[in-house]
Amino acid sequence: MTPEQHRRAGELFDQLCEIAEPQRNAYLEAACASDPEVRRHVAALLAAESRAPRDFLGEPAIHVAARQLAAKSTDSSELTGAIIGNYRLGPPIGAGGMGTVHEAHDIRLNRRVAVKILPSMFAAHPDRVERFQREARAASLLNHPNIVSIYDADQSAGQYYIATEFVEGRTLRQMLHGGPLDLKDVLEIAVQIASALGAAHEAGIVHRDIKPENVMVRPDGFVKVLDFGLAKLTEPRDSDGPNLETRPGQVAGTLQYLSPEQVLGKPTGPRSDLFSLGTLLYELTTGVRPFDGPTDGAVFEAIVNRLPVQPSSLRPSLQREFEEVLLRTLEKDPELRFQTAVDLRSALRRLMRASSPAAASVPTAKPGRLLPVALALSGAVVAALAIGWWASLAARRPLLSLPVRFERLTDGPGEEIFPSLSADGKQFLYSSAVRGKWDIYLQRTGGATAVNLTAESKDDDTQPSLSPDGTRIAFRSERDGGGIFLMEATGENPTRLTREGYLPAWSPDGKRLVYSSVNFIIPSSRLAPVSRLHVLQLATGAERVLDTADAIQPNWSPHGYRIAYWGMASGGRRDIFTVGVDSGNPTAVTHDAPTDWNPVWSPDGGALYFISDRGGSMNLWRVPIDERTGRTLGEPVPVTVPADSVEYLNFSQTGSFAFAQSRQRNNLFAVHYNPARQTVTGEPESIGNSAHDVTVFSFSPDESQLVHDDVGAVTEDLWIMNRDGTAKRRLTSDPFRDRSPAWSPHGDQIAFFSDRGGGMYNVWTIRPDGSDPRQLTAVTSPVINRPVWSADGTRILVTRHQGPPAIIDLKPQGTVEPHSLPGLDAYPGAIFSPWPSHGDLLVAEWNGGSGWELLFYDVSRRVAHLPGVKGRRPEWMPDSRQVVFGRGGKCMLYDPDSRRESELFSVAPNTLYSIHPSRDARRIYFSQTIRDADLWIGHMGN
Amino acid sequence: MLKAWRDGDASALDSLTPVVYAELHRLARRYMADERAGHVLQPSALVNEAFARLMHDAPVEWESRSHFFAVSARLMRQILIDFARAQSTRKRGERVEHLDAAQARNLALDGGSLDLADLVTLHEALNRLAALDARQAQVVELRFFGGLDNKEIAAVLDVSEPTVVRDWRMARAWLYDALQAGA
Repeated sequence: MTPEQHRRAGELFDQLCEIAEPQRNAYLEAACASDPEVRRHVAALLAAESRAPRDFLGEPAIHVAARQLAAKSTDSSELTGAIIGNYRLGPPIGAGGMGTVHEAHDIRLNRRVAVKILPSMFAAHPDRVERFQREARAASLLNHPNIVSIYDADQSAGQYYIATEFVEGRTLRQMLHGGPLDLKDVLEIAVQIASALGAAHEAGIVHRDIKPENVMVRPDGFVKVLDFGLAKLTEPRDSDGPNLETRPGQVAGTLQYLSPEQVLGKPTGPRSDLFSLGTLLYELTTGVRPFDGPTDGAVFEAIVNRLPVQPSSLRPSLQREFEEVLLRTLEKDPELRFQTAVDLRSALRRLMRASSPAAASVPTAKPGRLLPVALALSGAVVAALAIGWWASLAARRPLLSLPVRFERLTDGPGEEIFPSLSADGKQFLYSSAVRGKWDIYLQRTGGATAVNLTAESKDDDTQPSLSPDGTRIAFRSERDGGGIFLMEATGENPTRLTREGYLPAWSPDGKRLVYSSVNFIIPSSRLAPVSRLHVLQLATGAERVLDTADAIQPNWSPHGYRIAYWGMASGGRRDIFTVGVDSGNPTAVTHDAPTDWNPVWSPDGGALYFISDRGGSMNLWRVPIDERTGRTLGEPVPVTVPADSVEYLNFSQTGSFAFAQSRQRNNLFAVHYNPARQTVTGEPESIGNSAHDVTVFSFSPDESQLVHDDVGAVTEDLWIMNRDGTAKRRLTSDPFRDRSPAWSPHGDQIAFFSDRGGGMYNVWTIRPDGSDPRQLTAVTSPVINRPVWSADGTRILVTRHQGPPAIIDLKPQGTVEPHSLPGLDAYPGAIFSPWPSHGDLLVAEWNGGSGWELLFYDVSRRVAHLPGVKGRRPEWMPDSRQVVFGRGGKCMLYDPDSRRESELFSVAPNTLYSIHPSRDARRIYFSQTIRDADLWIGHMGN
Repeated sequence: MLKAWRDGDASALDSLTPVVYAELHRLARRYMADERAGHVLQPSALVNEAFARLMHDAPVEWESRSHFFAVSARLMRQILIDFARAQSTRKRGERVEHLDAAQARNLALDGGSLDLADLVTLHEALNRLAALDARQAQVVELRFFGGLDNKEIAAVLDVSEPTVVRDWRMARAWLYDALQAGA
């Protein structure tokens, strides 16, 4: 087939598509008499055209990929109609992402049941099969009206299955699709779940997997809890050995409902169920999960570290007593929770009694939705039974299957990074700049006191690496021109080894060091692939360069054969490699688009652990490898650790591993200001809680409330709260990214930019009560952002990444095309700050390639002016004479008339994000970016 | 840096990949939770997002809007195919014991839904199609990988909308035929 033939075929195909099918053949024969190949081609195209399903290529590729990811463990076997045990399987009724639960008929007892078929891979684990049967039989003894009865758990023709009571109704997950529930319904559901838990706990059975998918509500309002005692089945026995693997692809399922002790691999018990029930009730009440994040790691981190947002700020009508009960169930320390399900049930019943008249009168978004809708749907059987449990067997529960205990090692301000564990894992070294310069600290695992080993040095000392015998420390120091240094394990006798090099690592015999010639901070910050690995013989000082392409952050294999490292491979990718210490021959371990770095050998040499963002955020991955050849023996699998972002991994020889958990947050603060003396007084106070990432915020005209964004959240919504942080509520609630809110001068509108409405960012307005969202612009150029109101509220200024800033004249209705501001053509992308209260001199920030600087623009004279002041996020003081702005961590003041600048205060090492003075100039509000990294240790085995 | 973005080279790919993966997982999570199919960000919006992150809000000027969309679609294609390749090797291996692979693919195609291995096959077929008719292949790239509609594609390629419709119909039939033949 040539392009010419293809073109001719195309012409014919187009013509033939327009004529009726019966005539096509004759037409085709006539037209292609001379070229049978074209005829065949056209005939094939016509056949394909008529055979192709309507939806072939009908949805974007990313949807295809996402659905496949979701369905990855789906077993495609078709079982409808089959007889398994005593059951004739009907159609699948719970075809969720992970598999099928079938409606079935019990032939023997002539009743309707639900049958769950276990994946075939399950049968490969005899001990699990045995436990499955034993535990399922134990659970089947539970007899409680709120617990779904298990009838049978057995195998037939190689298929393991479980037969349960058939429940008609909806799962709480399905009910949550309509938003938070009526508070009265929440209480009714809660009491019934607590009853179920009470009965089970009394019988010694812990559920371990309470979540909305596992609770069904029948049309008559009766609650049924599914899958008692079954989650535990998926935990491997000790005999399974250390097993850090979690689900490939890291698709978060239901981690959000796990308790801190489950996440951390500690012993779990009845009180863990109460925590999970708490998270469930929180979601039913507020519509959001108390601990959530874009990745598994972020969710784990939230469960372990974060306090939930006050439920009453999300649901203002929530009674204080109800809120107290909710928060008590969510205590991180099991000792502080309700101690038994019976206690919790009593508390809930008291709430019901005390508040039932009040609760009945509480206005809700959709009153009375719960039961009527359930009844209306009773014809349609929606019993998505117990997919969660089945799925968990199919894919293995993440942390539940992890015989790894996580423990926090450090909790200091700022960053603790570069951990180096001793061989026995009982002590560790790390770097911290808490003292103003980088120092190396020594601390006992489990201890709280850190010893500064480099207190004597006035230069940065970092990247410590403890020798295998624990007697010496190799490290990077900037003293005397910099290089790799050696000191004793308690900091004595620092001596220089080299005049260059970073990130030293020891050979297992302690006789050699390998280091990289170039340093890096984060993988994406590297620009040139020019680093090489140097091997240094300590006894002789002899040094050689390994024959590799770009190579950095080396780690020596436990038997000394190979060195693992990462490098920038062709096209700027960051991949992992190993190279033979003597044999050379660099061998790729990974070769794909995600950023892979920080490879570390497992203590037995059978695997490489590394950090990668292939799961969405930086987390830990593991790949089996042959230590002698560097050949990989399988695909990388995720080893999810409880961190938003993992950095700096290190192993002890006992298999415990240390890593840094880093976080970056933008939080809101306020500090008192004395405008007469132009000084701040007192310490900045935090406003609201730190659960949201506040970048841009804006006050209502009377300054009683403020609206802020939540950039980087799972759903980037806008939030409104009182200026003291109380009464927080969601202004927008949608899956889109809503950013940079600006309250109008009249107070009746909030402008923001959002990608709702078709993928492109456009300017929208909404009323402060959440009503009447309106799209103002309909641009399709790449980026539009940061709306700013004119002082009279008739115009909105927007930044465009393409072309100069633009202004929108507000019209009564419809969308408007912004027009460019004259005189700003030379300043594309300038981001304007709120309009001054007096005059028409606008201030903006602009980056023309040499960093951000202040830009002034006179609206009436249409001229722009750069005073040459570096800084970001400028805003006029209320007198419109001075501008306050941020420069790194410093809050600066600039007077355009006198051209003088002065420093007001500093939040260094944090950086300022946005700054806003109150109208009386008595307070300065600001959001600051706080970077924190703490060290954690994971202990394998029990 | 800007040049790199213009060319859609690997550093652009580097910064876009995490954003696309995050979106992919966000979507997958929705499917798994059995939620409504869910809104998906347009690939071009994802590229914007990656770009905004990379440049820390600094401004950029694209040669043209068309160029921007074309680069977005190409990057998306590259990332999704890398993803599909990585995932589907394992997936295919698992499947052998249950179903003959060819049979599985026919089932999937008849059901109208592609799997990851199909994505890779499709990508390879698309390369072959490009050798026969570059514009037809680009229409598929912009629509299937880039998420654009016919009108937008017409603007990007500077052709009339009926031309896009014709190119799409032909390319779609051609690809369906190629996938069936490849099974």
